[in-house]
Amino acid sequence: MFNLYLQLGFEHLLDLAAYDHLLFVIALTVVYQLSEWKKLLVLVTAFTIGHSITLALAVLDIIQFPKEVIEWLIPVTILLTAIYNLITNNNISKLNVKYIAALFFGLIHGMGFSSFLKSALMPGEEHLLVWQLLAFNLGIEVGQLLIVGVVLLANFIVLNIFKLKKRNWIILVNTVVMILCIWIMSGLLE
Amino acid sequence: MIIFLQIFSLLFAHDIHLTKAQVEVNAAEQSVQVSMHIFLDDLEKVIQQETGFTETMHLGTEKEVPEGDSLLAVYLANHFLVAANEQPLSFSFVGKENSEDLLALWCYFEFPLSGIPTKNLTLTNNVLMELYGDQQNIITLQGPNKKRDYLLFQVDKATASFSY
Repeated sequence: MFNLYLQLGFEHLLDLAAYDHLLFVIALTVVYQLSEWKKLLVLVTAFTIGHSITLALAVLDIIQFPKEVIEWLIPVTILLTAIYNLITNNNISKLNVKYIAALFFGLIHGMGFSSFLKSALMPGEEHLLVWQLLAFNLGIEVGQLLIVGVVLLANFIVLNIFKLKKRNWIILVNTVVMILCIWIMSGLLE
Repeated sequence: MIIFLQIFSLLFAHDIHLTKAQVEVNAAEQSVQVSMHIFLDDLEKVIQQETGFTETMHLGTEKEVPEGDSLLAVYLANHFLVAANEQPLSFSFVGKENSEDLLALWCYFEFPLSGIPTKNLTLTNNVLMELYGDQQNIITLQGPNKKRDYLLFQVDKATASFSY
């Protein structure tokens, strides 16, 4: 049981056919380099706290929300993150704003995760809910860390081996993220 | 306002490509009994795609076409397979009902064991997989000795075994 929900969480985050959460983690990570891992850790933790809270509250039926609105808000969080990356130089003075935003965006993504997990729960297994929740959340974390690792590695290769200017790389990645994000939004209109 | 909300919700298709099923090996009734939760819009789409049936079937509603159950049964029989000792078991449709939110069907079907002595089942579950590359079908299994197992079926791994 634990393994199944762990795997569902992991694959849900890495699902290439529904890549909204994936895009968000990429946008969150792309402005960092390996040497800044501490700041990134705090940022990713803020996002994780956010989505863990709403995932748990929604799955335990303590909060309810219109799924349709969340489906729209998720790409909005990605767009805002990408725009922020494009218009700022990731300067330290604004970091606190960034942490709060990551926490808040986490709350939104958590509600998105909960729609999926809820549809994966079997009737009559309510007594296992806490374990299913924990496993699913853990799966999401592992997936998230994997993406962070891959993006940091890509940053390292592009900036240090191919010697691309950091600013150009950030513009390139965030532009692609924004295009994919608009693509997701147009899909929601179908 | 209500109309606005209805139109608003129609604009969005759910993006959850997941079915779930509970499978129980019932020793007393000598049968493998399945209840499976499948989203209705996907089910309509995949049956039309596979059978070439062009009408809207309105499955699970008052307007359901007369062929509804048989089309559904044929689809499920082709995509949910159970074998005992490598011997395929025959599919038998039991019935269906709407999920509470009316977005999905609970489909009930069984596979009579007909006295085959077995402690090992092989299941294939590729329901909806021709529709979505990221389709995931999950199953909880319960053997006659109350042993439980959980299985995940995906495009690259649509067959799994259960021993009890």
